Amino acid sequence: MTMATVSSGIAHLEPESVARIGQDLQARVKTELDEVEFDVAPKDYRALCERVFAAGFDYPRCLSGSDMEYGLRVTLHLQQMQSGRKITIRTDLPYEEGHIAHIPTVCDLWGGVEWHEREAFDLVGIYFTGHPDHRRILLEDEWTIHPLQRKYSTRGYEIPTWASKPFPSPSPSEDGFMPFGVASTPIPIRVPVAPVAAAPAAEAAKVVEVAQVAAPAAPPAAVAAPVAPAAEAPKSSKVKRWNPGGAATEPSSEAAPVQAVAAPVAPAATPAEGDAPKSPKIKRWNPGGAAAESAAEVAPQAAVSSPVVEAPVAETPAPVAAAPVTETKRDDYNIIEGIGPRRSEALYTAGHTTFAQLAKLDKATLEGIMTAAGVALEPGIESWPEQAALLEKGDMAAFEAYTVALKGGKLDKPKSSKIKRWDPKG
Amino acid sequence: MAATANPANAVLNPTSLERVEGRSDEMLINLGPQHPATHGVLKIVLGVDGERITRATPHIGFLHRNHEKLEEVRTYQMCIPYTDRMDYVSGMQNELPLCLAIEEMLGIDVPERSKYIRTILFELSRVASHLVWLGTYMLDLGAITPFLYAFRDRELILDIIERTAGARLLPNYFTFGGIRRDHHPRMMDDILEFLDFFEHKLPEYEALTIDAPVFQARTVGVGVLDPQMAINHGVSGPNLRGSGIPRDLRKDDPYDAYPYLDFEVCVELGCDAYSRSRARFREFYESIKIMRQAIAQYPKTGPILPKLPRLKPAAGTERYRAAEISRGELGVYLIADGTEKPFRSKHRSPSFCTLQAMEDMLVGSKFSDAIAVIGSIDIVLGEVDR
Repeated sequence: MTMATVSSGIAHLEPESVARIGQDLQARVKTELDEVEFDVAPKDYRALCERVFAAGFDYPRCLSGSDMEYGLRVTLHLQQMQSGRKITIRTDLPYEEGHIAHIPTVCDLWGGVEWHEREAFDLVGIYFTGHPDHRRILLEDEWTIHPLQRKYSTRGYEIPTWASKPFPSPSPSEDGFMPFGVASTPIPIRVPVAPVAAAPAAEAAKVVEVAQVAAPAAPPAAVAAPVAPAAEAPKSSKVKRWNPGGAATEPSSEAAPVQAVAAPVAPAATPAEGDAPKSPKIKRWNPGGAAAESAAEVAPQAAVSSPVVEAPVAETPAPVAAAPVTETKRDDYNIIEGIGPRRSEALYTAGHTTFAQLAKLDKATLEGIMTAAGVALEPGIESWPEQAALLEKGDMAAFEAYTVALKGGKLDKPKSSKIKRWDPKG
Repeated sequence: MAATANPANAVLNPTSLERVEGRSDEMLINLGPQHPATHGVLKIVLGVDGERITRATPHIGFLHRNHEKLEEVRTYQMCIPYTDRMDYVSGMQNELPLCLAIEEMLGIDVPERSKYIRTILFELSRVASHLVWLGTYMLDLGAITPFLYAFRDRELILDIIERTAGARLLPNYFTFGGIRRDHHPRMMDDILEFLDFFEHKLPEYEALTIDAPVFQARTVGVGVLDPQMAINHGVSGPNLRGSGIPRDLRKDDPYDAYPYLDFEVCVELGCDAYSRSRARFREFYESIKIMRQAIAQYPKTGPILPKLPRLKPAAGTERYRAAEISRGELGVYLIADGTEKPFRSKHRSPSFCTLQAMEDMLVGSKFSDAIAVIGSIDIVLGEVDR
């Protein structure tokens, strides 16, 4: 058989006409030489694939599933055998209950993606509805986890929440379209530790923000503003030891007293100070980073708009916002220098759940609790009540200044003036 | 679609060995995973009705190591040795797609000299890989002598690779921007010497193997994979070219020194096991042609590595890049997060895709042809399971 019988006589498609394939779908197109890229909403994924198939893209090169930390992504690489034209279709699926996602299968169009879809299910946790043979392909059938999800370490254990990084918030494009259509039910997956009451509000604001971005009619300032606090808030509470932005933290929070409520938010506002050096530590991909800078430009607006975005918090049924209100108040002791998950658990079991309670304890009591729980004692235990007292007051600036000087909970005295220690603050 | 092409699949869970209603004489035969003819640990559950194969379900994953997860916690540079271990028959070829992807992401210009050396070694690996196929396929079909010849010649290639890269099977030689170190001073002479020897032997092998009447009787009209099906299943490489599709990434998506070299895409129109074998055998001649040209043209002196930037592709960038290895299109899909480690790296391996078409090739043919079909698509299980 010759080539003529293979190709079905499809006209040579120009990139522009290929791009027009998805015109009335919720899709974003990028054309580059002879390659066309589509970012499509999950609801239109199947429809777009059918059109692309009908347009003669008959060769499946690759289908990859990947965990993007804000959802799961399906990427489909196709080629038109006759012309050699390539096309990429991407869709980002929000997490569903159990860290998985569903998407219609396309293996009835391209038989070659059948095993790729099984692999994406097996390793990443994407379920392809309508797949004829939806079994695990590489791992055993009894396997319970999807190991290529980012929450698992290479050893297969789940990385605990307190050790995981804040996930990047997806960046809205200039046309306000999100590649994944989280229009109706945004599902927050990772609950960041909340040092003070402002943090849940920031998280809730983020939920609201996601919903707003999905609606293109929302004013851009209100959309962009809360992105920065939400993306940075958990980070600032985590970075204790070495915080180059810390110097800038205090002046900025003083300069903008409106934002003092959201104390951990302050580092995000550092670009507002002008040429504040960007933290070299924060290298992880943060698609919201661009938005953070634009947020700094409209900082006063952000302050103004924050009550606006806080307003729907009460109605939002997000578990994050609801948790501190409904349950017994339980402060996160992990923030305290020297306390980790085991020690905080020991304190919770001993009946101490708030910073106020911890602030009242003395060294002997604490040691008693730790010994009873079988946790090793370490020097510096006496600094916990002091830290807790600062946290109770909500004085984050003082707390950070205090903990910077601590090492494992112990006040770190300079050993010798001869050994010059590197001061990150200069 | 493989699973619905065969009605038996609709009623059967392919894992179970239960009988099908109304087909009392169907027998299930478990071929593999420890069978020499499966070329590794591949298990195929074959349903046979008398002599006819009614269904065939490949089971893979016995060699799964999840390189993709391991690569997520390693730098790009540290990922290269992992790619070697995917297709251990032609380890050097596996390194190239990753190198190409990073070079394109970061805009690294590979020096001319490295391009040629990579091309020469790429083709040398192709010969080494096809020799394994030739030897083992003939062994599957009952001919022992070609196996000895093929491995004798492959040994010479491995010696050349060892002298240059330091390892025989897992060389870890290509790198981002070129090659890791300069080749052995005598490498080109060795290769030319080998090519003279091999070219002299090839007609003999051809007469002994694919021109032999017994071989043709076993393979002509066996394991037919029609072109539509081959395209739809994402089959690539000599298997696709054996079905009449002239697709070769060395021509379509040229990389390294291939644009400067003159060679032919070996297409056969028979769509059966014989055509696939013939397409693969003709690539011996093409590879020799490519290597001779490249050795004549390549710059004898010059840099092998450019000044490299930090190997940190910008956050959010992604790239799919593929190269034509012995078995077809080996692609790598990278998503970068701005660090020196890949956020996600997925390998599209040609054998994995080709194996999906196995059921369509096998169903309807005689049971004794199953081995002839499995051998003709030249799979390496290390690459299927990754």
